[in-house]
Amino acid sequence: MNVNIIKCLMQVASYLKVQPGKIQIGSNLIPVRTINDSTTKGFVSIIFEMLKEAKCNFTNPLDIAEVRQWLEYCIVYTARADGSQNIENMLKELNNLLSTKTYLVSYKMTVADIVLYYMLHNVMGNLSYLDKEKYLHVSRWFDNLQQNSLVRQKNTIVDFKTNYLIVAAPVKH
Amino acid sequence: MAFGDLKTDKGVDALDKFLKDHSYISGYQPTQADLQTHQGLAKTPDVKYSHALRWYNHIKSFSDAEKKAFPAGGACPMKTAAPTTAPPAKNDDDDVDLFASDEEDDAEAEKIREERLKAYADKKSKKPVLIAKSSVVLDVKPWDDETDMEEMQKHVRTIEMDGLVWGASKLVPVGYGIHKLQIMCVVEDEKVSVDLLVEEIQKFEDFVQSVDIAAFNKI
Repeated sequence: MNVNIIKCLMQVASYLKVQPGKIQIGSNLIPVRTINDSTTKGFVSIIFEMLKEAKCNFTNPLDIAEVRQWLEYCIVYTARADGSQNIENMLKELNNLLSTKTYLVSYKMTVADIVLYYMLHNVMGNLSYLDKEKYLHVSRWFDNLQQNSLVRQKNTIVDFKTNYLIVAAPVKH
Repeated sequence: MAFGDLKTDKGVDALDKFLKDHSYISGYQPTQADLQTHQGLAKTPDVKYSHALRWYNHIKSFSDAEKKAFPAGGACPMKTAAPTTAPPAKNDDDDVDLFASDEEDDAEAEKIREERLKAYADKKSKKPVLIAKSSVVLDVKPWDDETDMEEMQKHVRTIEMDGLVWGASKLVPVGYGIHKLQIMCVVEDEKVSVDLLVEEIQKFEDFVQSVDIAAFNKI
C-alpha cells in the first residue's frame, strides 16, 4: 500500500483550515513542512503544529498522548503496510480495538481518526463486501467518518450498502 | 427503526443488531434519538450485547450540556414502536383454546416423539459419516539463502493437529540460491482450519518469512 503522505498532510491542513505551507519529502523519507521561513520535520510534529495553528487544544493530557501514539501508529504501521498479509493483520487489530469504541481516542472525533481515515481510504475502497463485513467495526467507524463532508473532502464515498443488507435484514423495521 | 421494548432482552437484542454497523441511532452524529433510546434502557446492556454496550458507553460520556445541544434526530424509535413483546399469556379458563390438548395426550405424544428421535439417532449413527478432506500444498518461504531448509522442514512437521496428515515435500529454487519449501498435507475440513495452520507455521519466525497456499483441492 502506497499512502501519499504529502496528500494526507494537505488534507489534514484543509480539514483544520490552516495554510498547508510547502510540504515535501526530505531525506530519509521524512516529510518537511516549510511555512513563513520556519520548518518542521516529521509527520507527527507537523500535525501537532497544524493543530496549534488551528487553535485545537486538547485539555486532557491523556488524550494528547493517545493521539500522538495513534499518529505514530499511522505513520509507522498503516502507511508502510504492504502486502495483503500485513494489511490483513492491521485491519484485524483495528477491528478488535474498535469493537468497544466509537472513535479511536476518548469519546470524540480527533485528528487521529481523521488521519487514519485518509490513510485507509484506498484500502477500504479495495476491500470486497465480504471483507468489509469481516472487519465490521472498522467499516462502521469508517462509514461514520466519511459521511462528514468536512472530513471526506474530495475523496469518494466507499460503498457499504450490501453490508447493510446482510446485517440489517434480520432486524424488523 | 424500532427496537421494541428496550426494557426486555428482546429489545436490547434488536438494538444491538442495529448498532452492529451504526455508530448512532439516527444519521452519523449523536442526536436526541440517541438520548431517548439511552434513557429508554432499563440498565447498562449486558456484555453479550457488545455493540449496544459500546454505544451506551459512548452516549454516557457526554456531559448534560453537550446532550442538550444534540440536534433533533429522526423519530424516536421508542415512541413509534409498539412493544413487540406479547403480553404474558393468561391462564383464564374462559379462553377457548382451539389447540388445547389434554395433558395425558401430551405425555403420550412426547413419549412417541422421543422414541422416534431415538430411532432416528440410532439409524444415523450406523450410517458411515462422510469426512470431507482437502489436499493442500503450502509454499513456505525462508528469509534468505542462509536459512537451514532441513531444519525448517523439521519444525514445520512438528505441528500436530487432529485431522492433519503431512505428506511429501520438496525444495523448489526461487532464484539467487534461495529455495522455498513446498509441502503437501491432507486436512479434514471440519477439524483443521487452513488459516490456523498457516498461522501456526508462521510462528517459526526464525525460519519462515511467509506461507502461501499454492493449491487447495477437495478430495
